[in-house]
Parts: sequence; structure tokens; C-alpha cells
Amino acid sequence: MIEFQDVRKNYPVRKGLNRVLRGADLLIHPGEKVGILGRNGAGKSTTIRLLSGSELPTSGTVDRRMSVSWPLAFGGAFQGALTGRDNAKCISRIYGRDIEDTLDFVQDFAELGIYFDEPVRTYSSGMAARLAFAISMSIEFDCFLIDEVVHVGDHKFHEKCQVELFEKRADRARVIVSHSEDFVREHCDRAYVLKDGLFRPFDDVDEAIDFHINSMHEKNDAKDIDRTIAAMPSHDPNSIYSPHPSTIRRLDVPQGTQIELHLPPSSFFPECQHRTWLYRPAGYDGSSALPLIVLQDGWWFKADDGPWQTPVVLDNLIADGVIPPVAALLVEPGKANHEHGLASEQRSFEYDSLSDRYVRFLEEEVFPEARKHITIADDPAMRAIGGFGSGGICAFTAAWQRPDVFGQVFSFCGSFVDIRGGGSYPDSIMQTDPKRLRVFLQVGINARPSGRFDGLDWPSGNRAMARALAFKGYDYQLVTGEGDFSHIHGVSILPDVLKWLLR
Amino acid sequence: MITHGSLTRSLIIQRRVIWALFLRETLTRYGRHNIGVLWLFGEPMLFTMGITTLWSLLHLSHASHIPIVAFALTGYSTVLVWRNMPNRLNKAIEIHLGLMHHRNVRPIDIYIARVLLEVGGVTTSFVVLSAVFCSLGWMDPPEDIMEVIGGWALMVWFGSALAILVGSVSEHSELFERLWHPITYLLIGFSGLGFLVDAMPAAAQKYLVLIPMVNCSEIIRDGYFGSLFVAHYDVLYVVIWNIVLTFLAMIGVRSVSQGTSLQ
Repeated sequence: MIEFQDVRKNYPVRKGLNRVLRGADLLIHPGEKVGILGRNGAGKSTTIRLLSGSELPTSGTVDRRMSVSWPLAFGGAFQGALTGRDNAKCISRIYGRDIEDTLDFVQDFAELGIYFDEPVRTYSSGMAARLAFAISMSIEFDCFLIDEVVHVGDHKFHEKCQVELFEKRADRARVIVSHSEDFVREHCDRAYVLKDGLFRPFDDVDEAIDFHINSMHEKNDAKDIDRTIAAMPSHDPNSIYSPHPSTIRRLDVPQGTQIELHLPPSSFFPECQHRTWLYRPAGYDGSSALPLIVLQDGWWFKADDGPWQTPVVLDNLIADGVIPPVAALLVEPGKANHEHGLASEQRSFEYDSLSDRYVRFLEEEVFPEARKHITIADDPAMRAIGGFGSGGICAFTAAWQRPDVFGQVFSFCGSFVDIRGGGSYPDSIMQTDPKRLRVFLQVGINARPSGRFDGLDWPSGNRAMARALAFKGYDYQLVTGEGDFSHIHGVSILPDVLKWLLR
Repeated sequence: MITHGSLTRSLIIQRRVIWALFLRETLTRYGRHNIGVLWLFGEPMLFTMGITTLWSLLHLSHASHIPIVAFALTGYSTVLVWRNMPNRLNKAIEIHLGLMHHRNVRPIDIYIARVLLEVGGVTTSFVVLSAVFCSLGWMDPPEDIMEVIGGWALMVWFGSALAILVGSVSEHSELFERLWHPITYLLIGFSGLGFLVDAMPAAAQKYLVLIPMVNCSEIIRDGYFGSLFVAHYDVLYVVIWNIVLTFLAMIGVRSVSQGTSLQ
């Protein structure tokens, strides 16, 4: 049994207190399947933490007479530098289970193969989730906490999880906290709706769902001001930014040369073509060593009809003496064909992975081609790497793995989130001696792409990076803007960023 | 379960959790395969040898009667105790917030695990280096080993309480976290790293013995080569300091436990 009696939970915020729970009562018996519905920000996560006991209430009592799991498939407690095996051992020890049994189960269930003995930070997000789920299942609880919909791995693995959780453990209590009505309807016998800091009980799940949906509309009608906002055309948060003047071609400025490089077949990314262009500044005589800028998703940055207009920006800044003459490499992610635009999985594999594969590709396969046309400065401080979204984390990974190749990083809306484990960077930075890197980060506070990235938080990922960099004394900048997952803020500040990097 | 179990049961769980965290931290810090653990000895060893060389050169003309190797080793090892431990606990909870999802893991467990790791590290390095230097004939074995152990225990107690206090305050205040580093650099100058109280002007002595770290290094050195100098210390004074610090540290941990908010 778990019982909340008159539970209050406050969090201090800048202006006073955020009263999340305000005298809430709740009762869960052994074996019950209970859903908790609530709008975003209603206090669902707080409820989970109070249920699991990882947080204490501000006042009131939480009486817990059964063992409660941590939120299922939660991988945040992994230490990225340790292997899957060591992480599993640690959790097994915390719960006092037989280590060998746990390891056998986890190894068998998570299907990680040899990766079980590799550091968790090298895992893809799917692998990390599989490991987390397997560990959750290796320890027996009376009550399982399920935070949002459990999506782990591919379809086959998903089925396996369903069997393990909903069939084999059908006798256990479960609490599903979610805003997905269907998931609650399918797996719960009764539900609470969390509203205004209180739990409203419903014996019938459909009634709870109706109430939940109605209360969401109600909220919008509650205040006149809300109605006014609803009546207004939707606001584009990016509209406050406009492209920097340097993105406009000036007739009096000499243009650099753009050369398309023809890379030999890659040994790092077999069967892929990476279209790559080299920008060589105007008037380059071929003798001096040039600082280098490497841009991921090169086409975005180069396209004549695109927002970035990087070659034009470089022409203008060099002509004005704002930055020294530089070369730039604009590199597309690997594609099986020659079309532009987003390639999905290959791009994610190249950019979101935390390994040194991509930077080695640049150094060993792209640089030699570029050197046929220019001399690249040897000093890593004279070499910057940057990109947007996954291209941003890719840039950081390249410099983090090889500070001898790149000493400067710039990232716009960088995906420092758990697509392939990138959420572990702040932890790694904190635990590693500072490297000789300068880092520029930009992110929009509304950058929360939906769809397959639902639940990942770009602003907090970038803030966590900045905190870790600050903690370790790095030379860094974090610029947060009002925009969403958009290039436009970046386009308005790129010239200043280049100035900062090449100062 | 915990709320209804006995105290013994709670202690068993806590011991288990601390042990798990301790192993996790050890593996993370020193790794399974790399030589990180060697730096445990390497750093104090280099320092001791550097100081010894420097002093041997400076004191060529008027040879000091103080055994320089023992002086440097005791000085630096005590600094490691009170300086490194607080640094390692700085923001330790924020870094490990994810672990708090496991109900049995509380901030105090993380602090204790890290303190144990640090105490283990510096103590091992102190003991091993003493043994190595003695066997090489660079310094004599301690005259009174129990006194060394006693002084070391007081030092470790002081360092642990200070570390937990600093760690818990740093969770609340970004400013303090920043200030702590310069403060430690200042304190190094007054820590007994580079002086014996007896060698200082009489006017300064009465103030220097107010510093608990100085008392501890005096005790340890008294145990090592007490017959060669007059040690100035007050055991009771250090114990009172330690009790007060421990009390404050417990208040700090309590405030962190209540204030932790996971992301």
C-alpha cells in the first residue's frame, strides 16, 4: 500500500514558491493498476518522485508499505564512463541483489552483445534504454512506476518488454503517470486526475479521461486574457530575429572561391558519399597557413537560397578586416545518393554518436583533399568546427575527442540530448580535466522539437553543458534566445560568433 | 519498508548503498585498466621530492636539523586531506542527481562514499610513500607511530566534516562554490605545509596554533621527529573544532536532503 495524506510539495522559484501539491491525498493498494493524468506542469513528475521516495514532501505523510521501483527505463543514473556491466553491478549492489543473477538476466534481456562491456557513453539511446529497462526488470518490486509511454528499442524488443512488464508481472501494482490517454486506458483499472495540486479519484478510467480533457479546455476559458491570446494568430517566436547584414552580398567585396572536393570512398563510413565544398578566401596566394572553419550539414550553410549564406558572410567579414582570411569546409552528412536535404539515420549516426569516428574521417579523409588547394594552420586554436542541431553536438564531439585537431567549437541549437547518449556530456565534462577548447553555444528556449524527439529538452541540455563548462573553467559562451528549433537566431549572430572565435 | 524496519535494517541498507557507490566512484576515478591510481602516489611523491631538492640546495650552507623529507611529506599529505576532500564534494549531489531516483540513495550516502574514497586515497598514498621513503633511507621511521596515527585521524575527521559542510553549502550557493577555490589557496599558506610553529616568531605563534590544520600537522610531525623540535598543539582544541564542524556538516546534509529537486 502507498498512501499520501495531506501531502504538500513546494519548490522555491525566483519569485516565491511554486506550490505543486497542495494537500493531496492518494491511495494505492497492492496489485492495483492506477493511472495518473495531468497537464504538462501539473506536477506529474513530482508525484513520481514522491511515490518512489526519491524526494520527501514539504509537509504531510507518504506511507509506503510496498517496494516501489524507480521510474521505468530511467537511465539517468548511469555513469557514462563505466561499462553496462559495472553500472548493472552498482544498481544490483544498491538493492542488495545477487550480482551474478542480475548480470545474467540483464545481459540476456538487454541484448547488448559485446557492448555490455563497453562504457555506457558509447551506447546509442536505444541501447541505453534497453539496459535501463533490463536492470529495472532484474530487481523485483511490488509496484512499478511508469513515467510516460515506455518506448524501448525496436518493435521486437518492445513486445518483449510488454510481455515482461504487463504479463509476467501482472500481479504487481503499477502506477502509470502520463498525458497519453490511450496508454492509461489500455493498462489501468482506475485513475486520478492531477489538477490544482490535488488528486481527483475516478473509479472509471474513461470518466477520468473525459474530466482530464475537459479540464484542459476549461483552463483556456478560465481567464479572458487566455481567450485573447487564443484568438490571436499564432506567434512565431523566431520573428524577433532577422538575418545579419553581413549575409547580404556586396558588390565591392571580392569573392572567395568555392571548390567542390571529390573525396575517395570513405573507410570510416563505407558506401556513403559526403558532398564537400571548400571555401578559399579571395586573394589567397597559396603560401600561408589559413585558419579553418568546418561546418556540418554544409549545404545549409552554403546554399545560395538558404538563410546562412556563409561564403558571403566570410567574404564580407574578411574584407572588413573583422576576421583574418580563413578557409571553410562545408561537409554534408553521408548519403547513398546525391540529393540534398536531410538524410535521417546516417546523419544521426555520424553526428549524434559520441565516438571519434567522425573527426577521424575529417582529419584522415577530408583534410588531405583540402590540402591540395590550401595550407591548413596546425594550431588547433586556429581551427573551428560548428553546426546546427546534431551538427552542433557533432562539432563538440569532434573537438572533445580530438582537441589536437579542433580547439574551437560553435553550436546552434546543439542536440546535447539523449539521441545517442549526448546527455551524458555535462557529466563527462565535470569529471574530466579541462581540455584546451573554447565553446560557443546558442539555443532557443522554445527549442523542443516534437515527434520522435518528444521529451528531449534542448534548452536544458545546452544549459547543463554551459554549467559543466563553467564549472571546469572553460572559455565558453551560452546565448539563449527566444526562438524555437530554428536557424534564424543563429543566422543573426553568426558573424559575431566568428569574430569571437577568431579574435 | 524503511519507515517500518528497525534501525539495524536501515544501517544494513545504508552500508550496502555506500559500498555500491564507493565501488562506482572508485571505478570511475581510477578505471579498470588505466594507471590513474598511480597518480595517487605520483603527485605527493613529486611534490615531496621537489621540495626536498629545493631545500637541500637552499640549506647547503647551514644544514637544518629538521628531516626535510619527513617534513615535506607530512606537510603535503595533510594539505591533501583538507583541500582535496572538499573539492571532491563540491556540487557532488548535483552531479549525481540521477542516482536519487533510487530511493535508498540519499545525499549523505554520496558524501560518505566520496569521503571514504578520498580518505582511502590520501591515507594509502601517505602510508605507501612513508614506507618507500623509509626503506630507501631518505627518512627515519616515525618515533611514535601511535601519535602519527592519532594526528592523522584528527586530520581526516577534520577534512571529512569540512568536506561535507563545503559540499552541502555548494549545493545551495553558486557564489560559495566559486569562492571556495581561492579560499583554499589562501589557507594553504597558513596550513603548516611550509613551516613549524616553533620556527615562527613568538608573536605569530599564538595565532598560528588557532588554526586546526596547523595543530594536526604539528601532532603528526611530533610523532615523526618530535625529538628534533618543540611541537605546539592542543588536541582538545582540535576535537572541539571537529565536533562543531561535524555538527554543522550534519545540518548541511539535512538541508540538502530536503532541498534536492531532480530534473
